[in-house]
Amino acid sequence: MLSYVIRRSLVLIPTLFVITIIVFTLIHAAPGDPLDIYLDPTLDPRDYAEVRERMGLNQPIHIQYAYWVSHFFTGDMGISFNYGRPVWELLKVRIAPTILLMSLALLSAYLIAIPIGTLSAIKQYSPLDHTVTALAFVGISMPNFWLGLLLLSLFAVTLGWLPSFGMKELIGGGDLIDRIRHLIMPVIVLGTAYMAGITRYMRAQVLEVKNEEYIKTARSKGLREYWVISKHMMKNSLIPIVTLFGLQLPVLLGGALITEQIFSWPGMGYFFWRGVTARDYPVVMAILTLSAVLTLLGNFIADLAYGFLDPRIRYT
Amino acid sequence: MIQEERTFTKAVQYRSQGYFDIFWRQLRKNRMAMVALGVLTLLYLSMLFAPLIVNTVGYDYKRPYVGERNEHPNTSHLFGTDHLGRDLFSRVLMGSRISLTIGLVAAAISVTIGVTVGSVAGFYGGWMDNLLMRGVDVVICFPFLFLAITIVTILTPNFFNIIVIIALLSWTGIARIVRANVLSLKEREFFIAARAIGAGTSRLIFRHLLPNTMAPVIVSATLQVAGAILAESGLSYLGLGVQPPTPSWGNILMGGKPFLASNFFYTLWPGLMIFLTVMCINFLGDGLRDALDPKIAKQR
Repeated sequence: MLSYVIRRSLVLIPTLFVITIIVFTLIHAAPGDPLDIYLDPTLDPRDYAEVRERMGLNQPIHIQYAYWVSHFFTGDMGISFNYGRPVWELLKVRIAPTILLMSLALLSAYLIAIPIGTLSAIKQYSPLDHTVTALAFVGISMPNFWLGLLLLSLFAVTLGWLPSFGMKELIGGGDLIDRIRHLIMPVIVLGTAYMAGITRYMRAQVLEVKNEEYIKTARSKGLREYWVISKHMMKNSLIPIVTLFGLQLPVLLGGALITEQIFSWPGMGYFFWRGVTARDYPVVMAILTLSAVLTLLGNFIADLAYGFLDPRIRYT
Repeated sequence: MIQEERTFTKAVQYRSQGYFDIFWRQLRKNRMAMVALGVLTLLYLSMLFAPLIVNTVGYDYKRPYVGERNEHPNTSHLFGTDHLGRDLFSRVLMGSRISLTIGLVAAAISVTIGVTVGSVAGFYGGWMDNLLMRGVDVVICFPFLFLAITIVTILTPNFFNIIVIIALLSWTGIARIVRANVLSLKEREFFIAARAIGAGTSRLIFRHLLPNTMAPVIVSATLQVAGAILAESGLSYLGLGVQPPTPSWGNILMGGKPFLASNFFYTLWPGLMIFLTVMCINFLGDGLRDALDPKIAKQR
């Protein structure tokens, strides 16, 4: 196991290397000179050249890359074109809102989907099962941006029950109730597709496990049905669900981007979208790299978790 | 002798027809999949004849009718009008051309890439496999929307670029499926036998490996169309897809967001169309999965 962990983490390094190269190349290929943002075209060309030299833009490209990478991972992500302040300083206050949104959406999705999926599988072909399956299809097929607009027009525009944007009221907001009210719609928008997916997956897993020999054994030794389901069926069905988290992380991040854009949620996704529309390349570069690194780590952890949870899997 | 050979060919033909028959019979039993197939056929037909239909209805999808802004559905404007007074029915119908075409073409390209990469990696193994699969690992690390948006901003968001971007970012799943299948097929007797007879590389791949891995590929190709449609409309919704005034379902939605309070129908129609299309494709994919895999069908 230990040697597997070590080998697996060694693979991370070349992957990380290629990721940074791709991001760097992409941004480098972007049209326009970085200096256009700072400098007046009426400036003396000699001063212009001097600034170029001082900013390292005359260096060979691999030196520029090395400079960027080595500074990036120590927290120096450059200066935002748009705000004129260090990217990391702007970014760090926007990470927590995104994490909050994502973890609440995930948590509620798992909490609802796991029991419902199990129930649906145990009562296969019952009206309940059919309803759950139909709803899961709706959930998977519903574009999150449209769901967001529907919720907005119902709860914010027509009924006026929930606020339509932001994390808290601008004036006098910020207490717990206010924050929860702001969270409800974004969490639903981000969590729905995910919940539908897990429900279907859980149902399929339980169906597969349902007729295994050890379930029969558990029943025939006189175990109460409740324990058969919770200890034997669900526990064994949950293993692949855990690893699903790692694989779904990029989808979740993308969902967060859309959700944050709809509700002007002050997180990474919204910041990224604003950065893109303003062509704020340092911001785009930083968040793109960060999202890829997060996904890489997510997959890594999911891989390890799988081996840890499922004793049948042996790494050599 | 000649007679005998003829019956033999006939028998073979009959059997290969039989496989399709079984599949079709299975699929027909699935009512949701058949309804979905019907709706999708209708959608694609109306997409093909969109200019004709729009002409018959009598509205130019680009022309603003100034006195008729933000109208709710009525007898002259079936779906109502948008904030510039353009007929929403014509716009949604013309928008289907972008969304449905991008869905189909992007999926076709990405499936081609995926099948190629997967079968090459699985067939040759060794360093080739290693290289290609590490490539897959890298592509998978980028959350789709983040990378797609970045590339769109660097290039220009137009029809062609959107297709290429979606295709280039969504082939990894199929590549992995095909590779895994090829790896296990390579161990099977029929394959070893074919190789022992001296079948060439292309014959081995196209005749023995790929046909046997078609079932999961068809299913994920179907779902890929849904994914591509969602991706396109997501990008368009963010303002980074096909640019207005050319309508696409996503950019009509984006256009309607500020008018949620006054004109609910503006965002309702395009959203409903995306939802309906994607759901039908999902139902069809589910039906195909059951029909193509007899093992699953029996269990149900």
